[in-house]
Amino acid sequence: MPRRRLSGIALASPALLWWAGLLVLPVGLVLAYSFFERGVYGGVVYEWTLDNYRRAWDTLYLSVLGFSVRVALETTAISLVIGFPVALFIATRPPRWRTALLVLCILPFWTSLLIRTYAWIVILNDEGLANRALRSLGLVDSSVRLLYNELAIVVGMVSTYLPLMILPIYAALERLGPELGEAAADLGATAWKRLWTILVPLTAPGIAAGCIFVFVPSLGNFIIPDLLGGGRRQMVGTLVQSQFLEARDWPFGATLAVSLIAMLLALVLVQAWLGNRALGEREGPARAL
Amino acid sequence: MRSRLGELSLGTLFAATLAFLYLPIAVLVGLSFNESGLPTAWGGFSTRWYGELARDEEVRDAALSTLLVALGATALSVLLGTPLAFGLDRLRSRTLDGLVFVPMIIPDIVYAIAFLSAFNLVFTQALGRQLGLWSVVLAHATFGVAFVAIVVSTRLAHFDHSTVEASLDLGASELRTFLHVTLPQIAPGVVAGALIVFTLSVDEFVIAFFTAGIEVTLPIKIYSMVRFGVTPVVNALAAIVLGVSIVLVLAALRLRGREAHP
Amino acid sequence: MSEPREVIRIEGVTKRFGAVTALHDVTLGIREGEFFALLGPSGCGKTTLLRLLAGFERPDRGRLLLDGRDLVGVKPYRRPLNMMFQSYALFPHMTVEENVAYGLRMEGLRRREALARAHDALALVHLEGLGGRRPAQLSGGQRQRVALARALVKRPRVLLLDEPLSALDRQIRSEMQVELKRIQHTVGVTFIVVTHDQEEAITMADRIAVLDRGRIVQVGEPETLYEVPETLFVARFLGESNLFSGTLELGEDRAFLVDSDVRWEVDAAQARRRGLAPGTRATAVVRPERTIVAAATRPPTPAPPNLASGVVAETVYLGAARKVVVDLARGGTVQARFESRGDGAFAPGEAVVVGWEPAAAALVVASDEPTGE
Repeated sequence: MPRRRLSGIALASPALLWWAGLLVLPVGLVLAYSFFERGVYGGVVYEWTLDNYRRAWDTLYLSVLGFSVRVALETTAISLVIGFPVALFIATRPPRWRTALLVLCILPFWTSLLIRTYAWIVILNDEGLANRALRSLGLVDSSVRLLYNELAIVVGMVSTYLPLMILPIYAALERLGPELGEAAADLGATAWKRLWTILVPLTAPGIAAGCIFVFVPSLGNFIIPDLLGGGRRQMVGTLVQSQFLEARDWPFGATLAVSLIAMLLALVLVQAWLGNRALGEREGPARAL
Repeated sequence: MRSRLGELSLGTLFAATLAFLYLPIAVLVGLSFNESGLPTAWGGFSTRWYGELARDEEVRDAALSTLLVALGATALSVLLGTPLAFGLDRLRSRTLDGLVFVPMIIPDIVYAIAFLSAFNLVFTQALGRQLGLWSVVLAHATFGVAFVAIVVSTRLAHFDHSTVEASLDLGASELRTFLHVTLPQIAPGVVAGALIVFTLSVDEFVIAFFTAGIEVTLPIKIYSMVRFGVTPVVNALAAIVLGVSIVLVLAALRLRGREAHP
Repeated sequence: MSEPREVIRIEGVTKRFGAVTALHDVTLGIREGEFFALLGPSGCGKTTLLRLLAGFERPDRGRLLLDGRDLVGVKPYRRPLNMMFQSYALFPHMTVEENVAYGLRMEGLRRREALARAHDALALVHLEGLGGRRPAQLSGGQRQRVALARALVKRPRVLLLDEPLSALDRQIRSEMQVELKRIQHTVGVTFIVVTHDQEEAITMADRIAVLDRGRIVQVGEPETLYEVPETLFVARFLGESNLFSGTLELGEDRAFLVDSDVRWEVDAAQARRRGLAPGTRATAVVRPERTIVAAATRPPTPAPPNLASGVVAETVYLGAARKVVVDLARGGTVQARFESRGDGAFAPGEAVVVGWEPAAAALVVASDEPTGE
């Protein structure tokens, strides 16, 4: 048994050392920077301070955080409302169809986020497909502003992270087996009742996992608010970036980054602690791969 | 009795969701073949933009850089991630298993600035080295290791360890057992993990943008084309990158699926 | 009279896993060409013993000799023993014939020659023509045969089989018991089989070692173990038994087990052979088929020395046999079994007498179990 442990440690250590140098050290450095003062021309002055954290409580930054949380929550809620029935649809198909349908849902997730986000600019701009569709349907007379606002950001986020909601819910539904068949047998008048009294409680761990999977990356996303928000609406991710690259205030950027990681980590730990680990961490991302 | 109305509405929603998910991809692919190059008017089918793309030397350089970065990151991820998965399998520690997922929680923008800060301190200030493609490789591999380890771990979880003992029993040494019995059974997982990491690296923008220095990878090129003056060439480029990703991921899922549904 | 040669000698082997002692000072000899069974409940250490022989575990103390050579410290792949795994452990990425030829290839045989011998081995287990399939395309019984062929093709000195039939359906299992016996005869290799199924051990084995919590409790031929169990554990593990306990009263040529109100007569010679001193608590083990039941109105003639009255609680028809469960008037339950011939069917509630001959009982040191089963 000790031999097994020893060889295990030997096998794992190159990767763990790699992470120590290239993950723990950089993130630790950011943590350290968040307690230092900024230099006059950018950079870091190694003077211990808590000012950065005090400053983060400024309403200006709190409102950015609030907006980020709101967008992430909206994304999660919409993804859940769409993702649950989609997962239910897949899980009630004959077994030989399920994998193919699931793959169909996951596939876009593995394509370039940057390119798909760019595509939404093409679709949502004033002369884009969406506006022309609305006009030809006679719903609007002139172009409506669809881009560079909250709506655009949420649309982009949902189209990106929806598969991460579908996967764990599908996994939970599939696990129900025959119970699912019974519960889904009648989707008519009493369907709602069955949904709320049977399916939702039974798949709660899957739902919780899906919500975490969607919420966590939504909150810290950079590309989507950067491109679809057009710099008009800031989220935490874009704020971190602008503090580092534009304001050249590394300590404050670091403070925002640390706060973001702390929030995400706390969320994930709470979810793990709630005992959904088996379903959440292991199967969710693993199945997406 | 299964309600037909319920079935129908579920099916409709599923179809609408697929349309929503694939709309961006379809729009770009369609646009890339539009003679006019404008999203506003269909000017007829044409491969004109693909031709222009082929003549664009900057794009060619960026593609080469991306290829180099992706190959490097994939190789490192496989070399580190595969032993890690084997190590985790032996250690059987839930904490360590969970730790593998931590890199995935960290937002790319946060990792980008963290890497940049550490790089400045260690390499630029102390060693006088500049950012370049190799630093992108290091950063991408940091995430790639986790993906390879997770995919190989799931494979190992389905692996019948008694086949190793059977091989030893039949006269194969530890090394030959690894080569003839363990590796062939784990290989599809390793290849699937490699394909995933390769795809992610090819598509990755945020970290590359911060860690590439003056080098330009394809996503960086695409970003600058999108932000600063869209030319229709970008649609052709995007369509190609999307196609490559889809093919690679389908291959990876196929390899994984074989063991997930035996 | 020379004892048959021993292939394997296990001497004073002890193996611990942390705080658990899996094997405690085990000494055992296994003879050339025999079909030997290690029998015991799960956790008794039988599989550990097999794994020690295969070389997957190392004993903490003791020696494992193969043809007089100590195996301890020899790598599994250098031992002339092969194992058939409980899960079969077939290589899923190889075809059936590649699986079987694997061990030969590792010996350095050419591919062609290895495949030819693999075909012979597959023929031995009646799997001709399936060589090109993958293990996943086979039934459980076929996989078991492939595993057997793969282990046998190397012509090992000893074949180790870990619960070889446990994964099979009942029907195939009894067929395979006979089949394994036949194959062992054909190849003449010593078989050591681990099983928790007493019926399987009795059917197949030439000799059986019964293990209990890491110790060997009795070694012998199936018949000896069944008819003359030396401990209560062996008596109860192999087949059903009725137990009659009391304090031993040992005379010149008669002996009795005395309990509060009864005196069971037992075989005095056997009590002496067992070294049971007068005054010890002992138990007489009587197998159901050696237990006599008769209607109270027609007691058996001649009457056996041990008789007790009771009431039929239950009768069970078993096809070839019939089982009667009797509640004794003095407490306890007795089972009897006899061939069913249409007559002698008892009805529940019927008053009966139960009897047994002293010679029919095996004497063991008593436990604190009540009289009867």
